[in-house]
Amino acid sequence: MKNKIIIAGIITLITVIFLVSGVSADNNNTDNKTTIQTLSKGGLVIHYPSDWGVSQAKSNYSIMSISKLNSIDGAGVGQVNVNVEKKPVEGDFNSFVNSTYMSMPYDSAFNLLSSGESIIGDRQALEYIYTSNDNGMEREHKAVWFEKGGQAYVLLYSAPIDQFEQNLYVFDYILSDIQIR
Amino acid sequence: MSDDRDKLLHIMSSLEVDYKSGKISAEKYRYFRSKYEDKLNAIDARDATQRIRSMQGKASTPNTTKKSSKPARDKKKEEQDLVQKYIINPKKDDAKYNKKKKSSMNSTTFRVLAITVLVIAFTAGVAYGIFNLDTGPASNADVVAIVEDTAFPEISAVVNTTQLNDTSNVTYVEDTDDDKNNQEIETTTETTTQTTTDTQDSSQSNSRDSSSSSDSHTSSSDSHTSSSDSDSGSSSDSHTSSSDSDSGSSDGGGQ
Repeated sequence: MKNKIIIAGIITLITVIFLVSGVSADNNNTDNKTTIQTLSKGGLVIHYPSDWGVSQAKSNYSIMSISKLNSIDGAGVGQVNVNVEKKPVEGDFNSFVNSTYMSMPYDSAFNLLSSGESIIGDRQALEYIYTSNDNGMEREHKAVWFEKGGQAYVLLYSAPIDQFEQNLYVFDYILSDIQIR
Repeated sequence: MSDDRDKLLHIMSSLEVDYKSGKISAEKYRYFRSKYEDKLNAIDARDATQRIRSMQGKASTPNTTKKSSKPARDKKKEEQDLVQKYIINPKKDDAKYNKKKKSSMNSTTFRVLAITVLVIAFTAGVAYGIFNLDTGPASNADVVAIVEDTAFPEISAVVNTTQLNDTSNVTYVEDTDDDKNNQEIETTTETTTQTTTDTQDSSQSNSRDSSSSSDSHTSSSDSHTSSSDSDSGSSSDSHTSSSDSDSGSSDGGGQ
């Protein structure tokens, strides 16, 4: 009787182990869809979802950039992307940033929608949202600027207007989770 | 043997009385009681063994000589085995009886099973860890796309065209003096032309913005200057020619 109980217990234990392993493997497969990747360059560490990938920005000021994988067009250009750039500050930081957008009203290809202050990490930041028109393609951009060590850092999120809002949460997540070293 | 048993029972009963009367503590009572019970059990087992041996026709005290050589513990164990064999499990034969051996077998089987379970659990744990292990690099260097957007866009500032053409011809004819010979005709032609052409400035970044605005200012200033120059030049030229004609006319008049 006692042996039977022991054997039954062992069988139960093995069954539980297999069940737990199966559930864990299933959860693991689910997690694969939403794993978080890390990108660290130039004193900045960002975390982004695995359906985005590291990209190469054309801008000379770019530190790092990522693109949404399913937004890459036939030419290999990431239409939904986040580009992190930095540039030495010339003069006052606020004036430096403002001067970037000063000419926008005079160019019909750009339309400055909003500007204001925000916080990134524990730093004061400036935020600009504008649209651009490149060969008839309307794109929306959100730029968040902050200063560190005499350098103006900017995180620019860009997407076609119809995809801007639906992917904005990724940019917001990156902003909320960024590590500035 | 029965004397010892009776004596033990008597001691136990007196122990009970002492405990109930409060002469000894509960702890001591439990200790002595368990001790006496053990002794009582041992006596019972010994009695049973002797009875069995007598039933088997063996000597009632076969181990009398060996008693001193064997440890008391082995003896007790043997007695318990015998009790187990012939009293508790009398129907089982010797091969099946050996509980100690059987227990050993079961213990070995149990150990093997336990080790198997542990190995399976360990394997499952390792597999779970491997599945959850993030084998990807912390920084993925594989470039998947190109990003053309930049926070320093190329902005083409187009200034509205303003053309201002002011051309005026003024002819002053001063009245002649009463002296007909001294007719003085002064003709002044003032031409002012101010033209601001389309200015298209492609600026990229702040420094270019600031330089473009200074360029615009300079060109405007230049335009103004040239306009003044042209103005004064034409005026003076006109004036000069006028004087010339005046002098000519006066000369003519004189002639």
